[in-house]
Amino acid sequence: MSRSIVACVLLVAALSAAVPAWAGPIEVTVPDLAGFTPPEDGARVVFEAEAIGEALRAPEGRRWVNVLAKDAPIGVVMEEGQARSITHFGDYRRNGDTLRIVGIFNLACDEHGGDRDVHAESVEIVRIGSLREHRVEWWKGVVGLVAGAAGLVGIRLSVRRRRRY
Amino acid sequence: MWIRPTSDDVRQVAYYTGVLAAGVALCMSVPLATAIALGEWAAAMDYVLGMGTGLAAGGALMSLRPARGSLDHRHAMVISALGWLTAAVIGAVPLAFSGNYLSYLDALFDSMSGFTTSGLTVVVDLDHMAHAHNMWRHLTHLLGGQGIIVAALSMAVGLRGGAFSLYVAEGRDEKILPNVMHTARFIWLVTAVFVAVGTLALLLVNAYSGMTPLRSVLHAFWITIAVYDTGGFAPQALNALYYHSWAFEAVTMVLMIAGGLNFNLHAAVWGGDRRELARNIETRILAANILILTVVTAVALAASAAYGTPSEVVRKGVYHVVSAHTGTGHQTLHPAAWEGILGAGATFAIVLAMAFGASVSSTAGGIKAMRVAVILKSVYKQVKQSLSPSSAVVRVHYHHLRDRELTSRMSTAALTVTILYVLAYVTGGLIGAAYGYSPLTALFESVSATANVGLSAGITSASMPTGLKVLYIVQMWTGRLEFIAFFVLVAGVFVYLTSPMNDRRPL
Repeated sequence: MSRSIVACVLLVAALSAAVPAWAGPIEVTVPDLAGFTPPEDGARVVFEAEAIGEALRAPEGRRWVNVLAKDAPIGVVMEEGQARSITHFGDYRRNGDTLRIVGIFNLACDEHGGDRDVHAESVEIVRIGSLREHRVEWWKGVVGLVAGAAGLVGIRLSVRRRRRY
Repeated sequence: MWIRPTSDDVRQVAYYTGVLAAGVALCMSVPLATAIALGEWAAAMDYVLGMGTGLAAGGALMSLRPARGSLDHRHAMVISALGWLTAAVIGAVPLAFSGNYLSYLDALFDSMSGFTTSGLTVVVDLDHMAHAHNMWRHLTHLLGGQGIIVAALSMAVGLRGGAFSLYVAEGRDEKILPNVMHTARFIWLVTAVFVAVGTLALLLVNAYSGMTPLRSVLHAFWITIAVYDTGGFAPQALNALYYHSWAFEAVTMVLMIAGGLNFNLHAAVWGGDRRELARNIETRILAANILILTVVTAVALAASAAYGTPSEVVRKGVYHVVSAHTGTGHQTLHPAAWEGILGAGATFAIVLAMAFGASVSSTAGGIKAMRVAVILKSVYKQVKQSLSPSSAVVRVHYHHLRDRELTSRMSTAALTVTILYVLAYVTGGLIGAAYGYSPLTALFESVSATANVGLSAGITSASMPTGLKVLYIVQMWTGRLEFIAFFVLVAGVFVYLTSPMNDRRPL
């Protein structure tokens, strides 16, 4: 009897240790990762975010790609090939590709000087980046020119007034 | 006895404030040129509007110029206080139309933060901001870091009369060269050299990291002026963490320290007197304080579960102590990491570093090492006096550019400003705590705003309460003025408004 109880306990313990490795990644958002209640250090996570800026050189031939979602950013370190598959990075003129990233979350990565980061296992582009529209509002130019001209007249009057004395 | 301001006094102040408003408007030609060169036409319109508004306000105020009379120290204090506010109000106009701020108040927050070289920000979607707007945000650091008045003096834009009064009112009490105009130009020369060298170094780092040539140059220039002017803005939302580079962090740390040193010390070293670096009491206090707080932070980090390796201690500990102590505010941590992961020990050490600040006559804010030195020397003098015969005359000396004797006037001045800073730190912290934030986080943010640092533990964002936005704007403004000019402004307005009507002629 007691042997079977011990066997059961050992089996449960072995399964609980093994399950996290088999289990699917936790679905999170970038604000979760960057915020006050992040997942556990070393958790396997999956999230979607926009690639911004550019791919930057990282140690051991890898690349840093900073990603953004809901105005919260985080750095993702990935293989060069994964970074090269990204077609657009977000900036003033365009939205970057939206990536679906599966990786390991590090609260303070020992490998990268304590940065809070994600080490990507897989990177998939779920949406190609698009152009951002910036409407030119000409009224601002007209108002600015009129106000500026009025200001220059005021300045000129002030100089002339002083010269008179 | 209070001297009642007359209408001519008000006109004098209005005229010079108008000159500064027009000057700020003219400086917008830099982001305007950036927008035109890069084809950012929507942003270009924001700067035409901003320049027009600034010139109109400047012209209107300048037209109030009195027919005669010259500038005295009272005018200078009020102009200095109003000048910073005016610069922030005018500087916020193009930002408010950029689409990266939820309201004009938010744009004013960043404008005040920029001019006072604080670096706290409530911008949204910074990673998609136009280059022109980033140029302006960082340029406010450059103009504010050297001092708006110094900027105007060096260009000699209508500020010839009472130049020294204006220079002193801006929180600089030492001339470097006999002529104040030459002093202002020397400050710009030192800045130009550091900005050129820093930009080149960071350009190489950025290019090696894989940035495009245009982004390498722009980021290098912006970060250099933000770091050397102990500002704290960055063109990406991750701030210094965006670059993930120890080389970037090393270069910026050197620039932070250069920016945190007294311009007189720069002048002495430039003049060949390198020994002054080691002999100067201010440098000694600054070095000792940085060392002590670095050890405290390192021990706290090593004891933490998250940051134990030597690389982490240097890149997260030393970097932030230097950033905080010099009042720079660049950070390689997510704001949420401060209290939550670094722990209270390291976070409190950073709060102390921010509160102390760097050198007087530098681009940094905070209490400053010179005042700490004077207070320590005063304590020493008191103790020595207590142990001496009652008839003994106790003299205490210190070295700052030359040997000086400590006077009671120096002690009183240092203690007054220190008390005002501490009161502002604590009051801001209590108000933040009353809004429901943890006391340490609230104190962190309050000290960061008042000492014009810019590190954030997570309170400062577009979604924070409006009351706190207003509070931090006032803290950044008054902290930059070292309070006295602000109180002179408030007292002057009060006395003017409460004086009998027949004393006030219509403007």
